Amino acid sequence: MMKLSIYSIVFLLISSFSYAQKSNDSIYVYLKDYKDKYKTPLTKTDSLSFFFHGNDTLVKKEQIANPKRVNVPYEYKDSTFLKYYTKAAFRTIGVDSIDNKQTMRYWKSPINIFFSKSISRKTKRKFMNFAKSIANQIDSLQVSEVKHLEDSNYTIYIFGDYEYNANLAKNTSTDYHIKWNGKQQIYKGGIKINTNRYLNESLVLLKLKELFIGSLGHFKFLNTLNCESYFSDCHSPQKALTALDVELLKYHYSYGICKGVNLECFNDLHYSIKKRLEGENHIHSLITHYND
Amino acid sequence: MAFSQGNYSDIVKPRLSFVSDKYEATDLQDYIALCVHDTLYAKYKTGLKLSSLNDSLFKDANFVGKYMNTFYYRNDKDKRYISQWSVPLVVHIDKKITKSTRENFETFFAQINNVENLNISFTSNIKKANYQIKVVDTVVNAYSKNYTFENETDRKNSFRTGATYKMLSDGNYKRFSGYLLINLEDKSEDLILKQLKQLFYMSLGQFTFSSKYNEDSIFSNKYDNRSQLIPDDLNILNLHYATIYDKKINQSTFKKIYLLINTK
Repeated sequence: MMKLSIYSIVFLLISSFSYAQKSNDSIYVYLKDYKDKYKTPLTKTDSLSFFFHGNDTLVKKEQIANPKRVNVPYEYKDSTFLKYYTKAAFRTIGVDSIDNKQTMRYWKSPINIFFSKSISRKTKRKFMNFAKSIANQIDSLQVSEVKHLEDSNYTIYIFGDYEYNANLAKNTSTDYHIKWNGKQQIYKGGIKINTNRYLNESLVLLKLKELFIGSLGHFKFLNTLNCESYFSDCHSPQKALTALDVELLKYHYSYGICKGVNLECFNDLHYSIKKRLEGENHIHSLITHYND
Repeated sequence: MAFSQGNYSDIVKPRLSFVSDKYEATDLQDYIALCVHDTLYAKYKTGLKLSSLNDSLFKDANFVGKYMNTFYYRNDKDKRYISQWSVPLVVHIDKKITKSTRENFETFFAQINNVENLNISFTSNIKKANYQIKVVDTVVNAYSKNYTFENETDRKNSFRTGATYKMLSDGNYKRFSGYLLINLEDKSEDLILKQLKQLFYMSLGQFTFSSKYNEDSIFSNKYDNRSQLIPDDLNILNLHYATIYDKKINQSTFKKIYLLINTK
């Protein structure tokens, strides 16, 4: 189940209540959710502020101001989009017992990239243009180049260089490596490329871009998408960030979804919210995040 | 010649791209709603289109059987997939190989210029190449420790001795970069040319060469190194590159495609 210590879902009533809620910092929570989350018995005062909506009862909950808490509107996506997203972000293989335990991973801190001197200036410049073009479209993702190794949390180098990333030391083929913490937040990454196999600058640049995309969420590359997509598992010299690629990345880094959860939790949440949203145009859902 | 789109798509699910322009879309029913006024529609390749030559090759059961034997050769046949080059090959040949051998090599492979979906060109600029033929002075062989030759003469004259290749493939078994290594030590120009021809041809599809072929075939372990490709060897490439498959194709899938074509 979802980690309620980190996230909670609340349902915010719009219309005449919205202004009062904002000014008083209070929300209305479905009765069942209230009991699940707060565990404390309801008081007479609580019952006086019940709000009845269809067959549901909602309880008014005053929220104590918490600078670490951020409420973000739930980001709705249709089932076709989610089919591609969950396959990529949760690396599903079609076996529920395994897939449900897969978690999504993401960068929370800015990505500071250090390039070894073996990476040509031209390749470095084109790569950074690409990386920044992604970051520019995603509020919560920041990418920059650093000149000193000690300032970096992401290294890009080639076979034969100094071994900048010990986790890639034993790699015999070109790949990326990322490390994440218990909250599934990626905090270190690197790419090591074999230029004896990637024979020219175009191939090197393309591979760096592909691996970089992969390392933004430990994404699985899909065999259902056209080769021009960075999320596909096939090569194309015409690779470009497609509209879907951008949406997948934006969604992954959106705070309108839960972060660091497993697929079972992700699906439960969507099922729950979508069910409640059906025909309830005036109810909005919020995802609450607690900053460290 | 186009075949029933639905049927082929059932066998080889097409890869999708999503476009915002409705007029570019293949299927308006398959869409992703991004927001109220922004929708992406599915676009994909439909059906299988074959030239009349490849259509007739697919309808020649004996030839298709021969073709399949060139790469589905192990017991785990469904774990082997058709390997194809999905991008044009730009080949650079090491200048340490004599000019006459380089020219003979290029002339030989000019015979396959008309193979559809396979494009090979040569460059003198190594930075532009995605296929390098390199001379090495290290020990390289295109056979494993368990591989046996009939005798030492056969070993010395084999295209597998003192040469090998490595290819880069994507998750769809499509090749896009590679190199062929050859050690020239104690080799005649004729042997060097033979090795280059056989290994290069092999690397176009990870074909299996053996002694069961006649000596006039490039697939033969005892290839006579003739200057012309025999028609069957040329047609193997025609059939192999009849289309670039969207997905990985194993033996079972290939047989379904074959049956589909032959029932139309």
